[in-house]
Amino acid sequence: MTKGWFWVLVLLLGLAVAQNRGGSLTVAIQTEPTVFDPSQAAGADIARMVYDNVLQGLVKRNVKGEIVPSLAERWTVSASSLTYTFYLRKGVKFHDRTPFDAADVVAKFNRAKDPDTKRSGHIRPELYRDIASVSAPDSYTVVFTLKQPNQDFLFTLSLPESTIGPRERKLEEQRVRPIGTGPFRFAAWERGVGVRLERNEAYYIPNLPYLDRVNFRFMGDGDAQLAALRAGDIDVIAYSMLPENAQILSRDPRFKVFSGSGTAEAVASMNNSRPPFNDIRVRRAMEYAVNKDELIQGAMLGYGTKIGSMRSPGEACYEDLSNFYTYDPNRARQLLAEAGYNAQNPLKFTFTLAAEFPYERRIGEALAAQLNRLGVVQVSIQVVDFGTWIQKAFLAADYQMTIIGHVEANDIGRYANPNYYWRYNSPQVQQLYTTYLRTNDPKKACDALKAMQRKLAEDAVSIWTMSLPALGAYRANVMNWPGASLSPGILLAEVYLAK
Amino acid sequence: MWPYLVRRCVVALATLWLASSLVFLALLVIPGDPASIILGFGADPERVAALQARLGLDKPPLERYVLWYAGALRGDLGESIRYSSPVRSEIARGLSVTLPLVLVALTLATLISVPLGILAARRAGSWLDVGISAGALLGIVLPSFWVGLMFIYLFIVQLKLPLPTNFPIEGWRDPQRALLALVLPILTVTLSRSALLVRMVRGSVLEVLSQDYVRTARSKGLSERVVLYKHALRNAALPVVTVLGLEFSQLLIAAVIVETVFGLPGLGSLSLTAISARDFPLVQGIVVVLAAFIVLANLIVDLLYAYLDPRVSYA
Repeated sequence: MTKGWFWVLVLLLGLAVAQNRGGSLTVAIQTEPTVFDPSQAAGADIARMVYDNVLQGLVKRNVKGEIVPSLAERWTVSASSLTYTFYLRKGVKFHDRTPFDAADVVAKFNRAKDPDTKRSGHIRPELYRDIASVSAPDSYTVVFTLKQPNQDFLFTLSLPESTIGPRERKLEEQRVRPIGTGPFRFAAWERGVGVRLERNEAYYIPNLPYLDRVNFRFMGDGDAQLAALRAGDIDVIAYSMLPENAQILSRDPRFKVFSGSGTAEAVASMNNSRPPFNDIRVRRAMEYAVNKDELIQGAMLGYGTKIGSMRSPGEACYEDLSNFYTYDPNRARQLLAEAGYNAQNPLKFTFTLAAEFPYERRIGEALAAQLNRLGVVQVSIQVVDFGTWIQKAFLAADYQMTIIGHVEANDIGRYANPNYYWRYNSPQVQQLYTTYLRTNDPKKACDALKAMQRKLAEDAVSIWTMSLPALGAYRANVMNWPGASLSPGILLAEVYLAK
Repeated sequence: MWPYLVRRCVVALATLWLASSLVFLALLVIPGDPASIILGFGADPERVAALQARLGLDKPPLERYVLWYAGALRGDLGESIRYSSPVRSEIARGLSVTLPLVLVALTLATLISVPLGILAARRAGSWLDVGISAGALLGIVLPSFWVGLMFIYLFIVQLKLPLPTNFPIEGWRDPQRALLALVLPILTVTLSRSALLVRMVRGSVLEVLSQDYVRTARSKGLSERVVLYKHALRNAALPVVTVLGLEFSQLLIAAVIVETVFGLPGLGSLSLTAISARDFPLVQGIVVVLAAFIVLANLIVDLLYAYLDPRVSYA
């Protein structure tokens, strides 16, 4: 009898699975990446499509942003925090049917840490600088030896750059047609149109993925995205939907609008090494002059979360400093007066905006309006394209104030780099960051990170306007859509269409 | 005739050379280089320099310029930095979408606007004329990105016509869907272009109808039909042909906007991405090909002009 019930249960489960299986999903993505191998070019869009869907690493960041096993089933860390041993999943095959084993991992990380980027084609060897050696005692074990403890080592392994392809695969081929171990294989890329992923029939997790096919379509224009969603040509607007379109769609029962938490901070950077922002009184005046609630309401129609330092609420060791500077225009004028600026001699500076980013542009324009409202400040807005922005603002630090979204998770460490484009040099912050990075006590690490957030706010290094929402919409029959963007990828393995 | 043609071709080649050289200079001057764009926020100056070396961008400008021309003369436009594939095949891909779009739209616009323009001119001042002229004015002032979006809402969202709002991922390998995807873009371009042409044809015909030789023809007792088709239209066609030539170059540029709205991977959107990625070889190649088309269109217009107006001399 019990056996009979067991089979009924299996049958029901089978039916449930069959219910979820099949179908294809079309997702609008804002920009077309240059290549599809995250180890060969930067760009959040590459990871959004291929991370964990096509290319997998030893560990991954799940929908909640937690680091969980992926190609490694489990791992151990030595007491010294210097040796990491990973035990790999067995029976995994790449999409080209070659088996995955420890030799692929060793080849990958030897390439990744090679400082000669011309030879390795790997764009960020500095991420792997702490790796002394990587070896494979057997086919399913990989041992990393570090030169010094690194609190972010697992995080580094969870980055899109740390995903693993077949060791024999040519870099030029991996660029345009990445092969990995994920639930979907990369099937087609039509330039300027989109990318198609197809179900990996041999995926090592049974019954996954649910979808047969996922199409990503490159659509930069927000109104064109809205039109295509309503016309039924796309099923999902994945992120960066215009807030006004979110309002339109939220009144339509055929669609669901989501505003998930993310790891993107819209940072209005002040060049700390140049006048006028090398004066802390001026920087603090800017913090008091900005009304973040009004920015979120006015520029983003309420989508977005107030923050006060370089970390988003969804991330670990977050310290809520959103009210560190309360909006106080009088205080701002007073600080500016101390620095020598008044209505007769107003503070004048250029605010550089990158044309390609709709959120940052509208937040920047609203922010400039708030500053101008003080009566003591004259902001002139300069709009440049992203190529110019990278060259002038980012690489040469040739700017006064600019705004951009820092999408990456856990990127606060950049404030410890005095050469980074905000040109902020604080030995105390550098010390705190070293403490965080090199300790093997998680509690101590968190304390250091929190202290670092507070110190950045005290020094008014940048104006952290808001944590940007992962704003999008999907057709009501799309189930399990991840929503939040705490993982670098849009994780699709468990998404299915209700029938 | 022949010396004239040869001279025109020499001028055309010189134009191409000048256009591509100017673009080369412009690309040298504008800030931003492909290596730092590829590296994005991971960029640090050492890494950028290494990537530049790999892309061959560390060579002096003059050497790059000479190398590019040496290749171009052999028909090799180089390799796209962004797509790491031959520029030639990227451009061919773009043209396979843009050319049908532009040519069909221009043909349709001509077919629609010439009769309408003549009709308006013949009934100048009537309600019909006012209606046509007002419609044309509307077509001119409405921006094509807006018209495109309205078409999507009207035809696809409201009327539920089975038309896709963007190009298939299979491209022309799915010819039926690809053709369907071009219907609304063609309509959008046709609308804006015919508006301008109607006014042009109307003005031109009106101008000719007021000429002395038309009055002479009428006073000879010729029928209105003969006056119009034998005498007036041939002369009225001259400025229209000129405009058509100009329209063609305008269209290639207008295509950028329409291609963006309708997600078409044409030459317009290709040039946008090429410029924003600072893909020097691709930008350079697109400019040369576009310039070649425009020069060719002008050449055809000149020849047509000569055919229509025997008074044009080749001397």
